[in-house]
Amino acid sequence: MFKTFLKIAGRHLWRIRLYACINITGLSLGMMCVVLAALYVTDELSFDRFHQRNPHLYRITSTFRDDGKVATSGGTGQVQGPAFKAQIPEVLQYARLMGGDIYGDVRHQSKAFKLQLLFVDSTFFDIFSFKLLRGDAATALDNVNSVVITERTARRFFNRTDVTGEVLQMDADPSAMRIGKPLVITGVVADPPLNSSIQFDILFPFSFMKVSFDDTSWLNAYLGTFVVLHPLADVDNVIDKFNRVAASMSKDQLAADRKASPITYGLQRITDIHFNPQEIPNQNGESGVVNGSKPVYSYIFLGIAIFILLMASVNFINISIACSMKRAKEVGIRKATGSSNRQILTQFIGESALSIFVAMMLALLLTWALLPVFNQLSEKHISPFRILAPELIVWFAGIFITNVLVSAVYPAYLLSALNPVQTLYGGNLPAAKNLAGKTLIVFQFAIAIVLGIASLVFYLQMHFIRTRDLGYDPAQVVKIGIQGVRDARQIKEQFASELAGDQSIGDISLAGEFGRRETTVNSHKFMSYFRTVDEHYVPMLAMQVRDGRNFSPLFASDKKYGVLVNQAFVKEAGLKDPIGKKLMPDSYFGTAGLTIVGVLRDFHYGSLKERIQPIVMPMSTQYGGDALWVKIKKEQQEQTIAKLERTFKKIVPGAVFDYSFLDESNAKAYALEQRWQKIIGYVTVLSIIICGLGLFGLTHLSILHRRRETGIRLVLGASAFEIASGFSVDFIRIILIALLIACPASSYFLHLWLNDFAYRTEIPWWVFALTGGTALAGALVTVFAQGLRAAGVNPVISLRSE
Amino acid sequence: MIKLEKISKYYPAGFGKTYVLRHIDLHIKEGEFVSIMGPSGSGKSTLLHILGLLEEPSEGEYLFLDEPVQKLSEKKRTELHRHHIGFVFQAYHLIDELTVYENIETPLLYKGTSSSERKSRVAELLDRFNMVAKKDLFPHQLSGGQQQLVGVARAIVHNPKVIFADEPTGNLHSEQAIEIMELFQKLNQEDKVTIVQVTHSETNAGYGNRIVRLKDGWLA
Repeated sequence: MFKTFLKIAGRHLWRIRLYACINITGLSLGMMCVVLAALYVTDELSFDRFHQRNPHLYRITSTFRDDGKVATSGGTGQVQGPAFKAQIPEVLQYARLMGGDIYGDVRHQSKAFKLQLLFVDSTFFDIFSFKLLRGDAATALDNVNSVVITERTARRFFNRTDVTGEVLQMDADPSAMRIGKPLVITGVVADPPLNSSIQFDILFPFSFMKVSFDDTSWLNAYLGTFVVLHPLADVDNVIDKFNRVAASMSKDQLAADRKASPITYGLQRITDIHFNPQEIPNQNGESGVVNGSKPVYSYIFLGIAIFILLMASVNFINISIACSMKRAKEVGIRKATGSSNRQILTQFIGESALSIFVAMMLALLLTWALLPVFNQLSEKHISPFRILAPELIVWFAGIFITNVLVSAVYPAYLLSALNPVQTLYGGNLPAAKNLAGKTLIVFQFAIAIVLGIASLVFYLQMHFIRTRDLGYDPAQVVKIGIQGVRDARQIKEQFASELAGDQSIGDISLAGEFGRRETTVNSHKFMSYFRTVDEHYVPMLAMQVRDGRNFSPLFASDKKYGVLVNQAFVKEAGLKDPIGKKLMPDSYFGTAGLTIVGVLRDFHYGSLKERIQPIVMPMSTQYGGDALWVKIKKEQQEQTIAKLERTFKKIVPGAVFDYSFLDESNAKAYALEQRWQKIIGYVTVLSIIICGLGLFGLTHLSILHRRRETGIRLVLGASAFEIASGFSVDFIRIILIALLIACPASSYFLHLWLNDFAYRTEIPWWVFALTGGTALAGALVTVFAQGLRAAGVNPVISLRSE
Repeated sequence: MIKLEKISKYYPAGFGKTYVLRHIDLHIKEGEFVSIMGPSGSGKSTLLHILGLLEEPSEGEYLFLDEPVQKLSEKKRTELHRHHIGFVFQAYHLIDELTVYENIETPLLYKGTSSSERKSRVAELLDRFNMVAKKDLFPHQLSGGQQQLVGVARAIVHNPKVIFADEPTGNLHSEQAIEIMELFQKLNQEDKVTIVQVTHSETNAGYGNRIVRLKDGWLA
C-alpha cells in the first residue's frame, strides 16, 4: 500500500513537475528563512552559556537617579568589588573587567598591532571559563607586568602559541611607561568564543591599569564587576547588603559632591547581559562587555521569516488545490473501489509531506549556501556545521511538522471530502469558489506591498543621508590615529614638514575629540562637544565661517585663548553678537576662559540621528589632539596612503598606522540601518517571487475551473481580450484590497522607524502609488497572459473534455 | 440479494422538490443480469448510484445482502465496497498515474490482500483478458476498448458479488462493445457474478436476463 502511494506520489509530482517545482522552490525559500532565523535565535540564546559558574555568576549593576530620571548601568567603579567581597560573606569571589572598546598598540620587536585590551583581576580564570592553553591560571595575572594573550594574538606576533616568557612592549602607554619594564607573557588563552560578551586580544592584570589610573570614588560607574555568589545566597538579600555597605562607605563622598545622588545596586545574571547590556551612552564602552543585542532583533528575524514561510505556504495550499482538482476523478475511483476517506486523506497528506520534505532538504542546502551572506547581514559568525547541531534538528523537525499541518491538511481534506458521484460525472467542484484561497492571496499581497514600500522608504532615507549637505566635505580626508602618551603636536609638525611640498597631499591638521563637557556662558551652563583643531581644519573640510574668522598664526592669542564655535552653540548660549565673547570651559582648557574668534555654519558632527549640538573648538596646537587629518588627491590614492604610512612610521617608530577615510567612518554610524536596508531588500525580493508564484497558481486554478465557461464564451463570439479581461477583474479586486490594508500599515510602521532620525525624508505619496501600481501591473501581466492562453484553446477541445 | 422498498430520490428546488426517483420497489436475486433502461433523465444512473452505495436515497429502504444500508456507518459501507461491489464506468475512469497492472491491483490493496495473492490474481486476469503484454502501459496508451477491459478486470479482481456498470459500452464502437458484453455474459454465467447495468441499447440489454424500465423516475 505504502509503496503504491509513493509510486503514485512520484508519478503525480512528475506529471505536474512545473507546479511541483514552483511549490517546492517557494516553500524551500520560506523554510530557508525560518532556518536562518532559527540559527540566529539559537546563536543569540547561546551567549555566555559556556561559563561553568553560571548559575551563581552575576554582574553588579548601578542605578542612578538624576532629576527624577532613573537609569541603570552595567558599570561600577573600582571600589565596589573589593568592598562587597570583604564585608558580605555571600560574595565568594569578584572580578573587575575594564575594556571592550579600549584598544592599544602592542609591539614585539618590529611587529606592532592595535589590540583589544582587557584589564582584569587575577580571579579572572577562576570565575570565567576561558580556557588557558599555556601558563598557570592561578598565577598568570599576579605580576603587574604579566600579560595573557589569546591564541590568535600569539600567532599574529610569533606564528606559534608556546610563547610564555616572551616579552611585549607598549611604547606610549602611561602604565607601561611608569613600570618601566617590558610586558612578560605568562599565559596563552584560547580565543574567546564568538558567543561571548567578553572579548579581548590581550589580558592585563588590574594592577597594571591602577598604576596610571587609581580611582577610589563610589560615585563612578564605568567598568564591569562580576561576582560569584554562594549557592545558597538569596539574591535580594545580597542586594540589600550591597546597598547598606555602599550607603555607609559612600557617605563622605556624597556629602562632598553636591551634584551627586546615591546609587543603588543590583545583580544581573551574566546570561542576561547579551540581551540587555545596559550600556549608558557616553560611557566609552569600558564595562568589559561587547556584542550587546536586543531581543527585538530575534523577534523581527523570526517574525519576518515566519511571514515569508506563511506566504509560501499560501502558495503551496493554492497550487496544491489547483493541481489536485485534476485528481478529483482519482478520488472518486478510489472511493468506488473501496478506499475510506481517511485513506485518501492520508494519501494526499503523505504526498504533500513528500514535497515538503524535499523542500526542507533544499532549504537546508540553500541555508548552507547562503549562510555567508546571512552572516554578513546579521553580523553573526554562524558556522555551516551548526545546522547539524541536535538542538537545531529539533527546530527543523518542528518546522517540517508545522508545515505539513499548515500546508498539507487543508487541500487533502478538500479532496477527501469530494463526493464520488460528483467527481466521476463532472459536477461542480466545491473548491471552485475558493474564498479561503483568495483571502490568503490578499494577505500575501498586503505583506509584499508593505515590504515594497518599506524598501523604497529605507532607500529614500539612506539616499537622503548620503546626499545631505553635512556642512563640510568629507571626501578624500584621511584620519590617522595617534595612540597613547605621545606629543601629538610634535608628531604633526614633523609630519607636515616631511610631507611639505608634496603635490598629492593637501592640508594637514591635528584634531582631537574631547567629548561632551560643561560650558558656561554668562552663567548659563550647558553641555557642548569639544574638538581641538588648528587653522588648517576649516579650509580642509571646506567649512563655512559665518561670522568672524578662522584661526590664524597672525593672531598669537588664538593658540591659547581663541575658539571656534558653531551656530548651535551661539543659539544655545543666547549670544547676539558672539565674536569676542568669552566662554568658560572646564579646567582642562584653562581657567582664563576662551574667546570666540569665529562662528562656523552648523555642520553634522555626529550622525543624522541626532540634532546638531553646540560645538566648541579650541586649538590643538595648544591642547593637543588624537588624530592627524590629511586631505589627499584622488589620483594615485594607494601610493599616497603608502607614503603616509612610511612617513608616520618613520616619525613614530613602533606605532600602528591606524587610518580611516572620513566618509567611510561617517557611514559606519548607519551600519545598522544599511544592514536592515539590505535585509528588507532581500526579503522584499523573496516575497515578490513567492507572490508571483502564488498568483500564477491561483490563476491557473481559476482558468482550469472556468475552462468550459471559456469554451462556451468563445463559441458565442467573445474575443481573446475579453476572455483575459474577465479573468483579470477578480485579481484587480484582490490587489486593491491588499493595497487598502498595506498602505496605512506600512505608513504607520515606517514613521516609527523614521522618528529615529533627527533629519529625515518625508514619505512621498508616489511611494504608495508606485508600489501599488507595480503590484497591479505585475499581477495583471501574470493573469492576462494566462487568460490569453486559455482563450487560445480551441473550444472544441475544452467543451469535449467536460 | 438486493431489495429496494419505496426508494425515492429528490433534490430541493426552490420551495419544492424535484424528484429523480419515485417509490421504486426492486428485488434483484443473486446471479441475475439486470439491465436498467429508459430515456435520458429517467433516473437510471441515480438508481445505479443508489444501488452501488455512491448516493443515498432520500426516502425508502435499501437492503443489501439483507442489511439495511441507510443505517450503515461510512466505515461499513467502505467495507461493502471492498468486498462485494465492483464498478464499471462509461468513461472507464482508470487512474492515469497507474499502469494497467497497478490499476487492476488497486481494489486488492484496499481489501488488504497479501502480496503474493495479489500477484497471482492480477496475473490470472491479465492472462484471461489477453493483456499480459500491456500490463506496464498507462491508460492513455490504450484504446478505449482495452481501457474498458482493464476497467472490467479492476471491477472483478476482488471477486465481488455484484458488478454495477454504467453504460459500459457507451464510449465504444460496436465491435468492442460486443467483446465487453460477451465478457459480462460469461462472468454472469460462468462465475455467477450478479450484474446490474444501465444501458440505452436493446442489443446490450439482450445479453442479460431481465430488463427494468424507468420513465420520469417511475418504474415502468
